[in-house]
Amino acid sequence: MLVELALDPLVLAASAERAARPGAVRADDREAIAACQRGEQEAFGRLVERYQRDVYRLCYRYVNNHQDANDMAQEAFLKAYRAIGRFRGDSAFSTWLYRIAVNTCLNFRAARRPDPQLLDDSIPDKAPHLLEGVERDERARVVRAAVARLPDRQRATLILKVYHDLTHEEVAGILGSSVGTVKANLFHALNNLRRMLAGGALDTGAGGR
Amino acid sequence: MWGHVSDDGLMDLVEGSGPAAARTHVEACARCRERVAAAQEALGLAHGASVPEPPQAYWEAMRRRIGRLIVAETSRGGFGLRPALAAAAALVALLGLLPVRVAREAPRDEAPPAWSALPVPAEDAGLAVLQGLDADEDELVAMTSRVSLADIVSALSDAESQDLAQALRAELNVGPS
Repeated sequence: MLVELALDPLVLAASAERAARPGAVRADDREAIAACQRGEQEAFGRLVERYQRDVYRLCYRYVNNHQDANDMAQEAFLKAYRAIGRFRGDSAFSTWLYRIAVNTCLNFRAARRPDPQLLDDSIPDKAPHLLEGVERDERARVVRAAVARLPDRQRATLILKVYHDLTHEEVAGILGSSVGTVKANLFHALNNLRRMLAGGALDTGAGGR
Repeated sequence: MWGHVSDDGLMDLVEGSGPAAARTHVEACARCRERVAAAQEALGLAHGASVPEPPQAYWEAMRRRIGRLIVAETSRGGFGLRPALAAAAALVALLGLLPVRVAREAPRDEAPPAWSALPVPAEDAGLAVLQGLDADEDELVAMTSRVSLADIVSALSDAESQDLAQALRAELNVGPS
């Protein structure tokens, strides 16, 4: 289970790199990382600037509100900074960073009970034609709320694959699962999403490893 | 005989790939065909659900906040990298290009609003101007009790009015009316 992964940044770093692809670090990232590892803190600011939007959006889709997304994104970057001394460059920095962000969000949700009122008000009782006729902004809000209600692993898979345009292999590396499992989880996530938007119940499906 | 396509195989079909045998099965199997169509419909809706984008000021504030937290942890020995002096120098470098128009820090625990059109207080020069214009209660009372010029002129006697008119003519070099 993702929630059971150790929060220790050193363990996060090591486990992320086990699923790594050699030589996947961008040259400009490599330079900034090396500078951070030499103790040049301002170099981390360049990495923050480069990835803050992606990390924020990932966190927002996970927690579906700005305040929590802000807190999670900030915490993810701090964890990354604490662990950057152990980053060896065997995987893309973004892959490693996303893994930290996903784990941060998962542990945040595990520690906080979902607001039942928020969940109940977010999904229409019946959407006979899947939000047909609903304004775009409202439709986006409803879909985001539905995504936030997906089971953890399905939600993580859908967010990383659909909104961050990662390959199945990259998502598998971040989540520590196989490509086949990523595809199956994504398929389940999409079917559950449709089911929720049509007013049905969730199917937890085979959300395993 | 081809059984139902696996879920990961159906996902390939949703994304437009997958072996021909799987595509042939889905064309013939209503159940698999429905599941693929449902996933495609959900995928289209998911793609349209964008995240509200915070303004540029938010991203700058986030970078500054992360920089401050890193320096604070380093100063406490949390990261075990450079001494506190080097950490402070790094913070100056990180913030060096950002103009600080008002000598005031934003509250540490307050997240910058995602969609505010206003700059954060530390960078809001207009805020200082507004605060400089603030009048205390005594000043407000004095302002509201002050009489206007019209009140003064209308209270002049005839003789005083003539003296005033004469003085104004002399000032303006205008002859008697």
